[in-house]
Amino acid sequence: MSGLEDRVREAYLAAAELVREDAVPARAPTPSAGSQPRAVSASGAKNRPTRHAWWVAPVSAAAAVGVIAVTVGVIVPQVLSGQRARPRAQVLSGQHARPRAHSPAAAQTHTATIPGLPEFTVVSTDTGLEVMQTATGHVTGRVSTPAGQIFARLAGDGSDRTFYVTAQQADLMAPCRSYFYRFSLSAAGQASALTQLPASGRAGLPTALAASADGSKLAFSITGCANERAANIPPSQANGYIGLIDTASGKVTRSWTYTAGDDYATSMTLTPDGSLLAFAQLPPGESANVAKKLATDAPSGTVDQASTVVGLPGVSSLSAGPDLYGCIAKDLSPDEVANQLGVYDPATGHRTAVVHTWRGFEAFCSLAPNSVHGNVLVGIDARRQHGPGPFVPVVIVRVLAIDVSTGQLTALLTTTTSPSDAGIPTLVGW
Amino acid sequence: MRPADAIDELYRDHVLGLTRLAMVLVGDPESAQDVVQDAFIGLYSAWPRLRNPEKAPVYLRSAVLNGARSVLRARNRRQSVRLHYDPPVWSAEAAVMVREDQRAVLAAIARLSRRQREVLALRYYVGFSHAEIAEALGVTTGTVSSTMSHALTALARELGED
Repeated sequence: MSGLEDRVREAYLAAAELVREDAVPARAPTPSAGSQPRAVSASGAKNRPTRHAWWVAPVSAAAAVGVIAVTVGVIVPQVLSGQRARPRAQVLSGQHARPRAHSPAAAQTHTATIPGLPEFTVVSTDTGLEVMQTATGHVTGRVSTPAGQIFARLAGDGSDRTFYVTAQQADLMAPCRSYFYRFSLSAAGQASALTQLPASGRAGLPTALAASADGSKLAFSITGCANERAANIPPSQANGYIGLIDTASGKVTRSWTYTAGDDYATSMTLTPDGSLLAFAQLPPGESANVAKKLATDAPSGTVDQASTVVGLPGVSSLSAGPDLYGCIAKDLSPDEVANQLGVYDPATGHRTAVVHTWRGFEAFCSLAPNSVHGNVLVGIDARRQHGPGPFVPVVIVRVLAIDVSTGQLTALLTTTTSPSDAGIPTLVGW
Repeated sequence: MRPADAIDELYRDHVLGLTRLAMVLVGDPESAQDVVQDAFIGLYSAWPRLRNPEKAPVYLRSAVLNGARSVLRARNRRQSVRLHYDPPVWSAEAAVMVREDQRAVLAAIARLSRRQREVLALRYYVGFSHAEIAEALGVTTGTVSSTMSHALTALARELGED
């Protein structure tokens, strides 16, 4: 039995070492005044600093991939909005806008459609995706997950009608595979059946997805699993790659590999014409993501060769439109994290304006662009707390629409969800 | 020493080990961290009842074991298919970072009963003796021995080592 016992010990050690010493909170938690030992308020009585996806090793301290959202328990459409005077946003070529002040929100009522917002929003559930009317939250369509798979990333192409979704194998111990699908919405918001793209079935796990607003390109990131390599990548280099799909043919036209030791992209965005890809990636040896950009007509090769660093240290999510928008998490104290949505000069990485700041325990934002409706983004504010029983975490996800040209903030819906065992975040797209 | 200071010291000394123990039981670092954080929060209210503060590590380990069990039961309740066991679920990212042969062992361990998994984790990860395992789980040493024997036999069969 000694050989077996050694194997068991080694396996346990390998699993345990996934918990990195620097990822464990440095300070002991303290119970909030008047609370039961295991009751935690939404404001963060656990006093834990946030580490987004800290369990992913190598880890990005500011990656927005969190263990949230398998089940949409409650969807509550709501509206609250904020208005602030702001200059017209600059174009992606790098003109600067004046810094803006943050002003309090003003009330707004909703109607069946909200001017300036896409008519439909797609959100992940425990069985697939739901299509809902943006203004009311009314569910108009559903997309079921293919058998044996779970949806991993979602991207809309800005048309309000066409969406792309990538899936992975549901059995987390099975060989890693990535699948790519397209579906479309009718005028009434009903979803078509999934169409599997020819690029589907690749080895590896999907980590990011982006679609260009002109509908021509789809970009994705795949990471290889342990001892498994993407089929068309030399084993000496394979730790995953970024791929570009021509949406007309559904085939991969170019790819750029991550060199050994690089972390994979955790957020991706394409400019509206699909000419430029921006993504968040952890540089080797670093502890925070940076934003990089890559021209999509660059020859296939390595990500390092084809991309340049833009900056935005600590960026968790990116969105490209006329401007480059990024969410960055900042530890204000061991007890409080702020996530800030800013406007950035894509040439220099300098922040030119702050659109919104979220404060609180484990808040983070994830962006989905829709430049068709005028610089509108979706920011997701997720707060983790415990549910009614002990050790039953729930995550409250608020889906917001932000018009970055006017500063108008519209809360669309709130979901109460359970953590995803596969570590897949809430998927939201439009 | 004030309780808060004592707990801080315990935290510094034990948080990493306890989090790693929770990790091998639940398979998900996020849940593992939650379990351990709640164990320390529970220690605050339990402190006045501790006859011997030196037993606090034992309390914490017990709290972690109980917390891990609750996590797995909660996962089982959320699944649409009722399982006759409540295995740890290894996150996709964790699966990426563990070697394939180690994944096979962890997958085989995941198919054991909860008690078998706890006994194996306390023996082969924590390094407890049978007597220490018995105390931690509140069972007899005979139960520990038989549980471990059955677990290793099942693993050997699963991994082709019989």
